[in-house]
Amino acid sequence: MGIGLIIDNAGWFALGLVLIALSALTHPSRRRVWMWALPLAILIVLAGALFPGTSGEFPGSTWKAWLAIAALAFGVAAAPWYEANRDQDTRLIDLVRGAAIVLVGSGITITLLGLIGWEQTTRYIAAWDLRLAAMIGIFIGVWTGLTGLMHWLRLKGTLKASAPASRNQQLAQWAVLGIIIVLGAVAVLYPDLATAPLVLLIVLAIEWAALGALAHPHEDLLHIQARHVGLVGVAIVTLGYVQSSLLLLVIGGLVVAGSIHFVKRQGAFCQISRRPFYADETEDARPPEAENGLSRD
Amino acid sequence: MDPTIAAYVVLLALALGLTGALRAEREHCGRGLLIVTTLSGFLVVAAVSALLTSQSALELLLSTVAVFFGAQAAATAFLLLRQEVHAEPEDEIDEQELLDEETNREQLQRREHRHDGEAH
Repeated sequence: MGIGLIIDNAGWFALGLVLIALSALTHPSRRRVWMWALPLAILIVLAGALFPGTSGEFPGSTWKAWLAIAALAFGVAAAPWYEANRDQDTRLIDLVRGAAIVLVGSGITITLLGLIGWEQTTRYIAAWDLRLAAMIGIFIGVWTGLTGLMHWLRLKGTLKASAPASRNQQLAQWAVLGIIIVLGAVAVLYPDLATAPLVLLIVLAIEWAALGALAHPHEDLLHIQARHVGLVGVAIVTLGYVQSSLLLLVIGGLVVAGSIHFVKRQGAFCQISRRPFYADETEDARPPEAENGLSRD
Repeated sequence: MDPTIAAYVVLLALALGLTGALRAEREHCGRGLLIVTTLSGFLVVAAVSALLTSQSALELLLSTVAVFFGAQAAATAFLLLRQEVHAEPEDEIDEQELLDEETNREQLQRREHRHDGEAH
């Protein structure tokens, strides 16, 4: 039994739980306890993958399961803690910072999974679709992780935002994206010659992501992060394709849909206080006079 | 996996998300974003399965790091969602409920008028 089927065995229960939770959570009058269904669904699938029972075909992999559990526990412990208190308003900057941390973690995960996928699929010349999925994963992972890191460093005050790109700079950035696409195509079609194009692609993706993230306007950070959440959804779709998991395909589609909803409808948050953004909070904060003209979404 | 089946499944999920499962009024779109950010925690499942099927020391190392960062991202996303869900004011009236109430009132008034007309 392949890993995709093992994931999907438990995944059907998890998917049912996710759909019920989505229905409950997007309606404000329903009970908030349903939010716990989302991590529960992830745990169900993890349990199904870690301990597949008699249907599993990973003899001697028990220690790997325990290694995965240890990595999971350390990862959860390393997450920043956010208080859930109705009387305390959150600042937008905290939310954007939290989303940046999510993007950094997701970006690193996607990049590493893309590299593993690449390492496995270069052995098979005919598996161009799997190499394409790995290549897309690497690009999305580097772009998303770097964008999250740049946003986090900007909000911390370590980096200053650059001026908006001039027309020539924008053209140069689009040219870089074109080169990335050509390099990706070369690496996918000619895996024997792929090492140099792949390394160059990663370097150019870092440049593309970093320069783009530095020039993002302050007030657009959350919307840009929402777009990257959509890209994470695309990466989940590619992972679902590589691992033959219908669950990951569905979850990826839902993540993309949620991102589109937020970006199109300029969504708002309940937790954010109604005061102006960013005043005296970071190095590249706007002066208070300019802030007064800004209104919250 | 057959690419056609994969494309159909993704399109169906996208359609489900765009038309129903994730729709909310603008005031709750932020919650929708945090919900799907939490759902992206399913990345950790892919990372764990990569760890379990790793065939070399390099793959094992990379997938372990991937599981760590995936778990951190998933936990952070869930804590942000929890904060948002708990920030929902208890006394806030839902826009849809208000509309339903208004429709019910109009129907009641129309029925009363009809009854009055019949009585006269």
